[in-house]
Amino acid sequence: MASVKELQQQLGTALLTMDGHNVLNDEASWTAFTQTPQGQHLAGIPREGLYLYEELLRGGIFSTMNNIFPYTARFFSNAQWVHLAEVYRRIYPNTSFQLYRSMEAFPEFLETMASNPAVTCRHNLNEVGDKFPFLADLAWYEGIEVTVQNAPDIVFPQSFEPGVPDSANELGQWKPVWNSARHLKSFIYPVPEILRQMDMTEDEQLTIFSKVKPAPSDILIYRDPETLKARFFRLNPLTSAFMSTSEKSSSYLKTLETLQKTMPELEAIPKEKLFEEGLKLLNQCYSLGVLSGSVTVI
Amino acid sequence: MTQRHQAGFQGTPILGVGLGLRDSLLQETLEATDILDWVEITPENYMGKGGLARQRLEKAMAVYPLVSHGVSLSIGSTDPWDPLYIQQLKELFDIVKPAWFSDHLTFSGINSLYFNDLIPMPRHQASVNHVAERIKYLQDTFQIPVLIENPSFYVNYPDNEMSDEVYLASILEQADCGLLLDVNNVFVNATNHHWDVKAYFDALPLERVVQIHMAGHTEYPEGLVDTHGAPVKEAVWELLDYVLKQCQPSGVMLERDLNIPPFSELRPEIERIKALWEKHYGVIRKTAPRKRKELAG
Repeated sequence: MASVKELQQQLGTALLTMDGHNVLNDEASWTAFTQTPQGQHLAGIPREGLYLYEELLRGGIFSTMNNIFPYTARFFSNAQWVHLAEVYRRIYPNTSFQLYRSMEAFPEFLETMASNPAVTCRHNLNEVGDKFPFLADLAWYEGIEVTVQNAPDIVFPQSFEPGVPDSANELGQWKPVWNSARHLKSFIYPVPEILRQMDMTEDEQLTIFSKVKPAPSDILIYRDPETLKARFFRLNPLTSAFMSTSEKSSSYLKTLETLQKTMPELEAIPKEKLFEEGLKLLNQCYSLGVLSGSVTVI
Repeated sequence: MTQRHQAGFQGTPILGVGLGLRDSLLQETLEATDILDWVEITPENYMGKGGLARQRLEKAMAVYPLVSHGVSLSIGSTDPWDPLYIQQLKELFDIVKPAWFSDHLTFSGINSLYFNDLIPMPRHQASVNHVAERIKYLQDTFQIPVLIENPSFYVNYPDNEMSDEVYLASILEQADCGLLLDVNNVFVNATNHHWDVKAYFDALPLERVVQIHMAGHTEYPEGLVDTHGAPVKEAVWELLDYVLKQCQPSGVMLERDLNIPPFSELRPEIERIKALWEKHYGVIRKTAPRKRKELAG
């Protein structure tokens, strides 16, 4: 008799990994699998019963893909999407107890699917990838929304104040506390524009998107503290640099001084003007909820 | 009428009639205090999450006592416990203070990978010993009553040495834990595997029933599937009446996870549970939310 562990491990192989891919499709494949060392403890288990579990697992992934990537899904036929669900869940089996997190590798999977014959062997999936090279970017965009919406709330430090400095004199006394539910991502393709166009396009006309050209941009996705929903914000290079530099600086003042030293376009700006623009930027970030507030410099 | 108890198995509070909390029905659920006494949460929907998930949880806590019913604890797995799961479940319970918590008599992960579904256990003594030890760990770790739910299953393993009811009863006794009895799962299994459904109930230690799930299933050519995506079938209602005659659960609730209709369509099913509850145990006395929280704690 197989031990509980032996049985579970072989069920895991059959139902969750590429080694078990297709073995439940017909009796001959199933019988052959149960005669290998990887499947020997499953001998005698009715194939139909396990096949139902395979269908349930695929169905769970399929509906989660639909929920999280509704725009990306529109570029695939139903048969292609079902095939993607099956090979995706086996190439990237979920390591989290939360089903929605099984989708975290899906954009990467789309990025690399062209090089994997197990993915592209059916349903002309190579053609879809060639025709719409922005699909991975689109999936990243949709996936990050879920990540940001579900991000944990943070406990603010004791000296936290829900505000930003009012004057240049205060810039050296405070440092920022950014909204922790945020993600900054560089996209190759103009995803916001693609989404806007898709809203006005029927499925049959989606081929027009094969003409989309790359247009790199940095986009901040963050959770609005009022609505608790994800917002998307295209960052200009200065704001992007301000956010990343401030993570390593001891105060708002140090951040601005560092930026002036490292960004040629700021070098010639007088200090007063730099601080004035800095305060404007802080107020803008604060009013959008990207910046939660400030803490005192120790 | 059965004499109403003051407390259920292992001192669990008698809560009455509940509903599984679903995002799309949140507002109507919060307003339905005339027919609902408590709600059940799926902890994985809130563990480690902030934002709207946390906000929904707090709204529910302000109105109802909560109990927790997990889907991914993987009680039967031979993997070590997932430390992140245990940590985040503890953190959630520190907030929610559920009256009890439950998960399924299945495994949902192996080799650090998750099925995110409920895979049946083999039924033999080594499996009983393994699961009972795991339940004892949970009882020691969380210090609140632990229930296991009888699952529906669609495959029998050749090495099974026990009937399902003997396997379940053995674990309940050996782990000394409560039972979340899913009446629909028993009906689905009895139909698919050709059991005598009442003999199944009669073989269980029904004094250990703390909670009862009522749900719908879907009929396919191959058999019944426990989808939670349809109204409760008439035969399952009859079985609930049969079970309630023989035990005093602390709560009975409706589960609906797929094809979720407007609340107005679920309401008659909740009212029917309420009517059966009152037929067997009398009227539940309502308590104020704060008092409810104390009760649940």
